[in-house]
Amino acid sequence: MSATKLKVMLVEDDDFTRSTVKSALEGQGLNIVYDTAFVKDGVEFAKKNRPDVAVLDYNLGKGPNGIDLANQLRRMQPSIGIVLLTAFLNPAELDTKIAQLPAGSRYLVKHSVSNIKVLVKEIAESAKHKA
Amino acid sequence: MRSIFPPVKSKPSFNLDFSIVYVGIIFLELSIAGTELFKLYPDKKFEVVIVRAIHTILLFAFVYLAHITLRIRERNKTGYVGLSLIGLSLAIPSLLSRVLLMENFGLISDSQTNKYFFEQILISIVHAFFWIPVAIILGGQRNKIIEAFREYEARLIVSERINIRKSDNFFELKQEVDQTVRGELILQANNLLHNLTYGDDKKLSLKERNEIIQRYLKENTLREFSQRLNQKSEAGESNSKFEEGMRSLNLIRKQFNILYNFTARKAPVPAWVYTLLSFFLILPNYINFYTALEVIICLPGFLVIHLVALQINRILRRGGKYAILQTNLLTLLIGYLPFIEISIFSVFLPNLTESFPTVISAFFYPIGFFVYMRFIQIIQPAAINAIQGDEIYASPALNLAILKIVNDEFRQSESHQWATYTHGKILTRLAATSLKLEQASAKNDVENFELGLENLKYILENPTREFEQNNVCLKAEISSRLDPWEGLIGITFKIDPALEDITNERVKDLGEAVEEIISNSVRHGGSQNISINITAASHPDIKVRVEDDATNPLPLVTSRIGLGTKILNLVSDGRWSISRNGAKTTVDLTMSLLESR
Repeated sequence: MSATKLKVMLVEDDDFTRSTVKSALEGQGLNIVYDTAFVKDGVEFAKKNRPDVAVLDYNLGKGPNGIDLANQLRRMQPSIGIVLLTAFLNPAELDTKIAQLPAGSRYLVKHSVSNIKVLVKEIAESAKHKA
Repeated sequence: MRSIFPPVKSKPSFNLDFSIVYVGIIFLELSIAGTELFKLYPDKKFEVVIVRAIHTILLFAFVYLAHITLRIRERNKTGYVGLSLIGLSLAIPSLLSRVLLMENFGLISDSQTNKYFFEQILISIVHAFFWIPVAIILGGQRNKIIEAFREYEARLIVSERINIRKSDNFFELKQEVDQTVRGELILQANNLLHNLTYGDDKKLSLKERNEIIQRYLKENTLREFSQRLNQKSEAGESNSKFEEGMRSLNLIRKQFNILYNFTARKAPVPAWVYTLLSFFLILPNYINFYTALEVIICLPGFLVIHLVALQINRILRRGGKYAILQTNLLTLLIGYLPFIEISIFSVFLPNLTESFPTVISAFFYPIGFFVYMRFIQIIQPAAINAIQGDEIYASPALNLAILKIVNDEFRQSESHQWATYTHGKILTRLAATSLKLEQASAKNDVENFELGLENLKYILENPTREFEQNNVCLKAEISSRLDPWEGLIGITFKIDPALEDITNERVKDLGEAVEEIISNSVRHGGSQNISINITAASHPDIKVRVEDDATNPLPLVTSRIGLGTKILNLVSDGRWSISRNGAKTTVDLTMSLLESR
């Protein structure tokens, strides 16, 4: 499926980053169906609307991180594609004890997001994951 | 805790534990071998060593046999009479096998055998009715004694952690670490800002300006800085069970003098213990080396021992600066009594038939007796009760060890917080701004490009701006840690109303700890439901209990090493534990929340 046909959800706690990424993705023709800073809202939206891909920040401030949310979304919707954004080079280095990312998830160092096409490509790749 | 040796009238029953009997056999055999090698059979060293080695193995076998027989007959406990019978059942075969071995290896001749047997039977009776029962009784109390020392160790460490955390030195360390990390972040951010400010040339095209800025952003050293912080927060040593045990032993060793001084003053060993132990320690040597007349001459020596022991007690109870020194000297004096006796005898009784081996009477015995009495002092129930009820200050070695641990925990916890902040608030925004500049450049959108650049400068001008947090009340702090989990897990939160509004700098620390427990429970335990209950404890402590339905329970030990462990240790001064009950895992944490520095 082409990336532009995917329903993409974005969870990022930093308002500036979220709005920038959202607008860049929309500029690439992607359909950002929902964006939020809060895990709870993201889970509720996914329950009702079953997006194709969730783009999640690793560091969501206090409480659960992007991997916790990714695991929950997969439990609710096994076919959902996951793209995890991290400011770090490798999430495993960031915290060796974190639960593993769900199978087929993609992760992207935020710095490479400056080339938005890389993110678009990862979103398309993540959507290929089959439950 | 009852006395280790309760009165016969109370008809006590003791656990049958032979572990210390094995240790006693080794000491006994070494002691006898020493006498035989240096005094009795200096020309037959090889035979002595062989006889002692075989006899040791035989004794081990006898003890093991007794142990197995009792276990098969399901006898786990017995009284003084039972212990004496066990003692006899070990001491008599021991004597018989010893005599046979000595005869076979030519240490005694056939004609000496009967005489030797009857001479040694008295020593065997001492073993049967005193040393073997004592070793079994101490073995049975082993767990209680070890448990008491573990409790003491834990309490001591908690107390020292609190002292260190509230000390001026620790306060200065906190400031130093904070200023160091903050200073480096500001320096790194200012360098980048400087490069961006002076590298950006408005005369160039937007595309060229973007290329320059992107290059600076890609090459910035803030990422390495945050990685370094993260590595610091992850660095840690893992402790195996063995290492934990050795640490305890090491602590007790380092703490021994303080422990001894404290217990000796609080609950000195009774004088009769000195006298009785001296009697049973010296008796075998009297039997071996002295005639009956000489033994009778020596008996008043025990009166001297008792009088000296009474004086030791008196000095300890009276206290004073030199009490411990004086009693140490007097204890050594008791240990030197056999040597003194021999020296006096050699002057006044030139016909003395035999004497103790000098190497034993002048060195091993007094030193051994001194160490033995110190050990007895700290394991007696009255002393253990005393250390359970009172604070004992830490030795300098222990203070140093705990100081290092607390400092490391703080540095790692602080590094973790700064690393998380730098990732989440600085690097994330730099990346987003980079994207914004890229997009604006592609569209030749000068206005958005300048906006992005302004945003970049705003972040870099004061990079620590958002790290500063105002203290909030306890209820709000904990809620702020729990609310984000809504949607992922079910959370029940209860708090004592009297604690809700507490606001101080430790509240945030508790928030960190609660977050650590919850995230561990979800990530490693797979919990779906968590309840947290905060209640008041004795001032200035509060108790936090977190219960979950983890499907993959956490290890039930409190020695797990990791950043989470360190955060919990730091917050609670080491007062936390994990327990598992059915399908429920419970974390209990106590912390001083209401204290002032």
